[in-house]
Amino acid sequence: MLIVLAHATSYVLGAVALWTLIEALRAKRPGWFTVIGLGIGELGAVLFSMIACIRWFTDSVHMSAGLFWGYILCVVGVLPIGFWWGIGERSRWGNVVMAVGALTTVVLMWRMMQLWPA
Amino acid sequence: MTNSNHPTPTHTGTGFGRVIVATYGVFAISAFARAAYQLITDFHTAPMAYSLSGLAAAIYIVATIALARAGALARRIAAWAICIELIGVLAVGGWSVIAPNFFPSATVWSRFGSGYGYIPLILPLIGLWWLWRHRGHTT
Repeated sequence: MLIVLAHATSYVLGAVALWTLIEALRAKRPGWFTVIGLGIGELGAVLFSMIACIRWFTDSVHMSAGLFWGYILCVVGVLPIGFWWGIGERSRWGNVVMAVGALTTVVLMWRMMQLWPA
Repeated sequence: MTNSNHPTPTHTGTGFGRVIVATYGVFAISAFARAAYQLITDFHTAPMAYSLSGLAAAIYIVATIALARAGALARRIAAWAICIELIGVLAVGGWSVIAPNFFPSATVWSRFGSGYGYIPLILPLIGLWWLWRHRGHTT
């Protein structure tokens, strides 16, 4: 389940990153399409974190608490912070900030999956 | 001298600077998380590497805030932080290649930041270029 969510969220956020970069090249500000895409991506990240938390509490996951909660916080938090920072920029660069946030979340999720004991 | 790309060419946290601040922010968070985890859990196994992790985290945090803020002082602080960052990544990067035994545990700057897609090596160069482009601007 965790791996399925990681895949699905990565595809959504990958597509959003690609879209925002194309929009940036076209000198556009972040639009509704980007906002909705990031919203779906954040939903995926939250679901991913919720399932990870459930498994954390039910299974005996051999991952240190500090590492686990650090990753959970970042996976959930990076997109909203990136969105807030990017939407304040009323130029093409707002779109690039959104792409940075989306790609960082993807990297964090997969890094967590690497550390996650099978 | 004004920048024609955006109406308020005044400080380093706007336009392309937003992207630089965002990237610095990502490194500030990840370096801080890594350093805090290393320093709390097993400082004694590699005190040198973990202290450097802590230093890197502090520099990224200072650089992020300084770049995001307007004003001559913020720009000066950003320039200092980024210069130290560049020296750090070059020194630790070179050192970790020449004497890998000295760094039993990795830092953000080990092997010129290869674990982070070499972004730690490129980022200070972009940061300094951006500051240089905005030299002389006051708010």
